[in-house]
Amino acid sequence: MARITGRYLLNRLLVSVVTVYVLATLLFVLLHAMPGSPIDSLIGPSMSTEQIENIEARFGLDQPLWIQYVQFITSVTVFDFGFSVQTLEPVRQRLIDRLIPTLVLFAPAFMIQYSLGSVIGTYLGWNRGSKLDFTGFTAGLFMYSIPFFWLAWILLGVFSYELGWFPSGSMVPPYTTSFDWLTAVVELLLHMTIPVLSLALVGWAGPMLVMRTTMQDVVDADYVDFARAQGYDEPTVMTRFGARNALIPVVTQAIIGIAFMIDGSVIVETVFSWPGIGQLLVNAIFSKDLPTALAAFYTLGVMIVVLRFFTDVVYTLLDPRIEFGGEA
Amino acid sequence: MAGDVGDPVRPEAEGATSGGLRERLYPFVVGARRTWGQFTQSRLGVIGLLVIAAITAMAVFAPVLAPHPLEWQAFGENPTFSEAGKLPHPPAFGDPFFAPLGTDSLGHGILTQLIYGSRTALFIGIAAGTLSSLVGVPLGIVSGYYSNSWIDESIQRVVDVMYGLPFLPLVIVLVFINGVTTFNIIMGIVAKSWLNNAIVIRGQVLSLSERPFVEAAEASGASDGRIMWRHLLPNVLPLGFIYLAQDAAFAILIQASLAFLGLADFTKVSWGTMLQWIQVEGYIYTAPWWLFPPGIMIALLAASFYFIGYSLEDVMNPGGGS
Amino acid sequence: MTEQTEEPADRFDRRDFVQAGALAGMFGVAGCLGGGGEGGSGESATASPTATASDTPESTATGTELEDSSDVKTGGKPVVGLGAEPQAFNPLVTSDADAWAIMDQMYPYPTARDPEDVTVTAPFVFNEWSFDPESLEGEVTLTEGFQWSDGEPLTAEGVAWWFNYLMEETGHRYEGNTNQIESIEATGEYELSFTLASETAAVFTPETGVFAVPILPAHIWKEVDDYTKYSPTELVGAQGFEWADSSAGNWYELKTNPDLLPDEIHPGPYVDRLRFRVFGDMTTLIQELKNGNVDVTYSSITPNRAFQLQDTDSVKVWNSKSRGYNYIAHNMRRVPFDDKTFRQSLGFVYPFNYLENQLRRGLTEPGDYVAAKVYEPWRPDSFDEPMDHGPYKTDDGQLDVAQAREFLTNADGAHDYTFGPVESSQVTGDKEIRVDGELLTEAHTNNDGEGGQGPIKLIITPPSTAPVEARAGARFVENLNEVGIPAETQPVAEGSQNSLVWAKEEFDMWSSGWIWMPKPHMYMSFWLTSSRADMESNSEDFNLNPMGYGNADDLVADVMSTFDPETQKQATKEALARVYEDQPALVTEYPNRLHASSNAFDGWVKVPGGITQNPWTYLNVHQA
Repeated sequence: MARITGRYLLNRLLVSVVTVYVLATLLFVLLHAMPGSPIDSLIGPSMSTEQIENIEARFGLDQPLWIQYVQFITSVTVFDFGFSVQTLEPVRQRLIDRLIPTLVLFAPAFMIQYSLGSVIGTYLGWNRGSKLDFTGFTAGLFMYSIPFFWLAWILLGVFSYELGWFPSGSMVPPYTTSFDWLTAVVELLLHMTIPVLSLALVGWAGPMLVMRTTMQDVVDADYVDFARAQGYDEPTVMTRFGARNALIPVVTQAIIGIAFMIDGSVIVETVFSWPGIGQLLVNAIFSKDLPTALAAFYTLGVMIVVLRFFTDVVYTLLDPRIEFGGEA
Repeated sequence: MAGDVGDPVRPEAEGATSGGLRERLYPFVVGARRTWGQFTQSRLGVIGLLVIAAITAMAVFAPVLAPHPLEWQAFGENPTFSEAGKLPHPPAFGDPFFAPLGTDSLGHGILTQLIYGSRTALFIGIAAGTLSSLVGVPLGIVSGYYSNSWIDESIQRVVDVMYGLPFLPLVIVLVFINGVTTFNIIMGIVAKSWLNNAIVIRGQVLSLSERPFVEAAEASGASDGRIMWRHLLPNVLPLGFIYLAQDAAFAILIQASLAFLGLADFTKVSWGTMLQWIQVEGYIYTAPWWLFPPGIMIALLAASFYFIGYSLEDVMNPGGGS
Repeated sequence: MTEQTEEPADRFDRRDFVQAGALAGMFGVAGCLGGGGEGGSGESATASPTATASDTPESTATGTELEDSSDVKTGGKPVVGLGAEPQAFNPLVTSDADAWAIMDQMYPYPTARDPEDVTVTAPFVFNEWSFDPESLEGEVTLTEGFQWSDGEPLTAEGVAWWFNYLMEETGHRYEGNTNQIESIEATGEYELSFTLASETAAVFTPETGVFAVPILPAHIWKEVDDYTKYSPTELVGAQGFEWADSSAGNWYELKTNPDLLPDEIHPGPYVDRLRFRVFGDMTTLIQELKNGNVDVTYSSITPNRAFQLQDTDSVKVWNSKSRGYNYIAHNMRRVPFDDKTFRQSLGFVYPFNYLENQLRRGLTEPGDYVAAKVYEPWRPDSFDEPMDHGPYKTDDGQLDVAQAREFLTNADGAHDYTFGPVESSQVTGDKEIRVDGELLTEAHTNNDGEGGQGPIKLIITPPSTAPVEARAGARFVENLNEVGIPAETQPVAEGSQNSLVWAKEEFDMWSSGWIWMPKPHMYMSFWLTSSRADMESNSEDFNLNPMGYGNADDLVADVMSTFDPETQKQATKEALARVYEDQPALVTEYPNRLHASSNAFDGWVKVPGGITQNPWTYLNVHQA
């Protein structure tokens, strides 16, 4: 149980690097475990063996396996994924194009989910055992259990197709590429409403559960009693003294929450035709564009690693008293 | 935190004919009894258990409960043109056929499919939950017991690295490569879900290791294996059950998500594949009797597992982290 | 001819449909290019435009008369709904149907089908042409007035350069066409002369002739270093449209510029813009069509969706007969598929009726020959003419266990079949088959002749991609087990099938995706001759004849070498009958092509290829 030190961060950094390396190796293994050859979709029935060999050479498949491996690792490290076997474009460009929409959707969704969950969790935890606590806890768990895409279908059916209030998918209205900022913001909000709403509905239970448990911990703490004794009213005690100290586990939980949400991008972006990385991954897998699919996979993985490391750093700065290594 | 345990250190039941099995199962008996005692204190957990019991009964007695056999179709196997035009059929009672929740586009009864579909859901949930416990709990105990040794270190690094992998995309790629079968789907889910088990159990073992009863056992010369098996396992089992239940819920939801993406074993009726079919056949917005029931059942079953898991946690862990 | 004067069967209506079924072949406007299943899974590889075919007329297909341009309401921005994101805009590489939806509006072809009589080859970029089959030399005069959307004129020099470029490059999609050209050069601003490499039956015919190659801007392609890596984001076209704007993966917009297209060809386009919008799934696309945000579905929709749409007043569904078919290939290297009678018996087991009435809701025709029913003149006159061959199916297309077993036990083929007690777990019937006294699971061999391969496996595409085919396949397997032939389905993702089937021949039965066959008699040489097969399965090259079938080589060669249309038809009938007799593949159906359009626009042109896959539709479409 080491106290937080520079060594700790160095350790985390090392783990992150190793994770990325393992991720890349895993991709290489997966690429070669796929049935058939990665370039199947490029090979036509009328091609000669020579032409097929040319294509193989272009994708480096004619080299011995270990050379392919070394080349793969080195190029993947600098996000060079070669060319898509479907679109012939460099995969990197497509990833960059898709990264922004993913962030645009998930950053606000994440924040809404977490603020909502934390606030409700605070309240429920503070009033533990009350009827409200029971209702909120039950409702949270139940909504947590709803298949996301199913909820999205229902919301789309009602708010988009029946009522026509919101568009049914994608990020901005079609057929225009330049918007003045006001239109852009309004349209973006319109397009984001249903996805963010469904994400929040399903996901608020995560932070709520953690916050609620921690609040239970705090509610009887000495310093809370002390605050009460000093004459602060109950809401102030709850927020200023209680919640503040309960936030740290929520931040820990957020690390997992982020990863979980990035995972979910695969479903969310597919349901809402959101042009992000998750959708790219799904489409690429089904059109057997393996370089693109694995690049998207890799990018999602790197995103998680970076965010985890980032949270570690922030965490350290925020609270130098935190002990690492032993907590559950 | 679970109270201190005054484990009587019983002599090895060598040669004891009747004691063999009981001896071996002893940790589980203690663990289960302890879990149950705590569990019944929670209203929500009992509700969850009742729902799961009901769904299990549904799965077991499916042939009795379902209005028709699974292969039944509203207008038979070869409907006339105008009959096929009436499909999917909204709920119908009496003549010409009985389908209380309507039919799908092939004339299969929704209620029938719903009832039989509970088998797949339960199987996936319980199998994935159990398997991740079987992997996660032993690794967590070992890692915690040998803390700060190379064993612990390597397990921890593996867990660290695995946490960095995007879960659902990994499962998608794995299932796509290995083929869409229920077995592969379960393995894909377990590949990642044992991590939480291992970490939490490890934390629990770390704090248990400093308890007097473990030290006493060590002093009396018990082997490492015996300490882990007899003394640590019963104490971490309740925690293991929490994660088993949560993993089960999670696995059910993941299976539905995979089905949504077209990665489900369609040869078996499941709630996930029912939703996949309504999507493929294009009736999401026109056949609510087909859309709603599977989604509700998935949510109900997953929620029940969560109810059990979280209320156990609630009861056992009223004071948050160790 | 607009909708008001169409034959009733042209439009989709449930009442009319029943009649239409009886009229099969009479009004056969048919087929479409690309778009395998509903998901727009792309042209099948066999549909690559490499056919060599004769200039024989089309079958009984009819077209739509274009209306007088004077009473056309101009303006409007119709939206074409795409089922998936277009991959690469590179005609030399991509076979992606969604990319072709857009490229086809930019890159003109030398000739087109006359929309009013699709049996006639109409001028497009080529205005007049001649060809001497003796000397193999020909002359072409281009239509004046075609212009590239960046302002460059479309000249004979550019066309000649383009063909020469294709002749030099290898591995592209048009190699099969351009390697038939010996030389081509510009002899004037609008004149070309060419020499072919060898005698060829089809020169100028759209889709199948030597010159059925899209014309791309030479001045742009001169700058391309390596065509395999070329993927432009904006296209320069010469077909009345120019690139306006796009958001990759979301939408693409073309702007109308009638000046780019000579009025002699068509006075349109009449609309202001042509928009393509990508929808991740068909459900959203259909919903948006109902809501008026989409005007036509580019790919064929499933019968279920068509039936749902017919109740929507703002939507029309267009029902076209198929020119292609679905089939199940048999691996003839393996016991029991090495036996003709065993293969024939499978027709008695296949659920034709289930597929037609339940899965397709009647919007298909049960299969027999490797030529769709719209090719009536080429198909054998009956199962007795030109030779006795079948039919290998029950009268009503339903399983008759007794008949199937009887056929097998009475057969005088390579193996003896008997039925005895059930031993395999797959079998659901009361008896199980024995092949030469052995259980089928034991007799069943792999490509190397090793027995004991277990039950027969049918490779199918997972139902999320191909719901109808997967279900039909599953029922087929159920029927086999009912008869007593142990069988299983083996779902394999579409992308993995090519190497498994075409390269490794690692299959028992393979349920293929929809195959487009513009000239079925000619396509026989592509996948039903031994020259296209790896008979011993010892190479990993791609071969379009995975069955290992070669028994009709002589008849197919006759078809290929016959120039006289009547003689060729007769030869085709014989070849089709022989193939049917041998059953290397079980043709399951000729599924109709269904497209939905909104009522906001009129002027869809229905020619072979459906309403969405011909240039006339986009030139002719206008506000209602």
